[in-house]
Amino acid sequence: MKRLSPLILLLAGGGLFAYGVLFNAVEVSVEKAPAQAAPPPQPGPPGVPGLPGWPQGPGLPGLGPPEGPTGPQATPGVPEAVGTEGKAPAPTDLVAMTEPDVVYEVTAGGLVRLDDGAISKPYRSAPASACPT
Amino acid sequence: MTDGGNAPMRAAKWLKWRLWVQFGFLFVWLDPLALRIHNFCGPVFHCYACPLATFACPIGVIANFSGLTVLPFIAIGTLLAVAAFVGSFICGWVCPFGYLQDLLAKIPVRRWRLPGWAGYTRYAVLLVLVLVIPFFYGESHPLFICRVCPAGGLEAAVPSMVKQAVAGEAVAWPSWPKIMVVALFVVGVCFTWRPWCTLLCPLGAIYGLTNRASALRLKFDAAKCTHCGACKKMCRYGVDPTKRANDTRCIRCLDCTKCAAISVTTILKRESRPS
Repeated sequence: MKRLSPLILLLAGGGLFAYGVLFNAVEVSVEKAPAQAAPPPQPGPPGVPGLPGWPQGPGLPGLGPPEGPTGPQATPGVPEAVGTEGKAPAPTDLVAMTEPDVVYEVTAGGLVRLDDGAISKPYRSAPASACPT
Repeated sequence: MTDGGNAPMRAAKWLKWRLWVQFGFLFVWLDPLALRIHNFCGPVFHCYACPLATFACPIGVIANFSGLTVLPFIAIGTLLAVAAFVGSFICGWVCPFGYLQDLLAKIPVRRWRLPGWAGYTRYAVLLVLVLVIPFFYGESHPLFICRVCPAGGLEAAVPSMVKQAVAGEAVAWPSWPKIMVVALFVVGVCFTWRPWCTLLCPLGAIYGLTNRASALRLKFDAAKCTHCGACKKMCRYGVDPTKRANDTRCIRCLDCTKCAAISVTTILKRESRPS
């Protein structure tokens, strides 16, 4: 058994290595710079003012009261914003929209910094997020 | 003298070359040809954010993959394949971070031995910082191994800071836990031998587990033992070679082979039968 144990280890290690290379390559996409994210949306243009209320009618002569029924209350004239609020969506949402096939996001770690922001090839079975020092 | 008697002498003869062997391996790990083969991990503890790293760090790979909940087949395969041959011999003779600590140990100050149980804390580091925290909290957790790794601090952050300073850019300081860890490491080196390897190294923990199964191993010959206890005193990592020559805490510096009862052997060598 003492002689077999290194062989077992070697076979296990070699097998895992080969399986990893052949079938379990993890390709990692490169992070797009945050500067490419769309600017936060501005508040929308003013909405259409509310319609005025029904005019108070004069009433039909001789049948009802001299004054007609009170019309429904007019909508206040404050314009309603059409656009969304001026809050930017979370960056993760942006990434999800612009990079739907991102498997893993490269963090601003050593690799990015040391390679001057350029990682030219996908990384296989090694995390692209470098040591976050 | 018998053949078995020559073996320990041969191993001991190599000891004076250990630092030179470690130095020679720097030419493999420090990427002199600018290959940057970060697709694969090396078998040693060397931060791949270092400007001079040939391979990826296996612990960084395992931790990051744990965060991705993907099994790092290539990294584990590499470690097992290397460990099958030499076990933690990598720690004592090949690892650049161990070499750095060995060099710092040349500073002539008094050092203390850590208790024998200290070697088992490495498994807590392996389990918690490398596997559990990345798995449950991802790499953004402040205790993610790469965020508190002194190798990252010394091999990656410091060179990057120097580079930024030289280029006249704003210097990006590491996080305070990392600064603290690096400071503790530097202080630790002044008080004991290889504090990282003894107490915390998760890679050493993995290799230590394979010590009894590797092709190269240590052998204790009880017939030659005089029970002087010299081998136990020689070991700085709390191992008693007379009880477990291939202990999980052993980094195979081979200092104990100065004793005639401890020798290096391989599975290829036939056991001599008692007459």
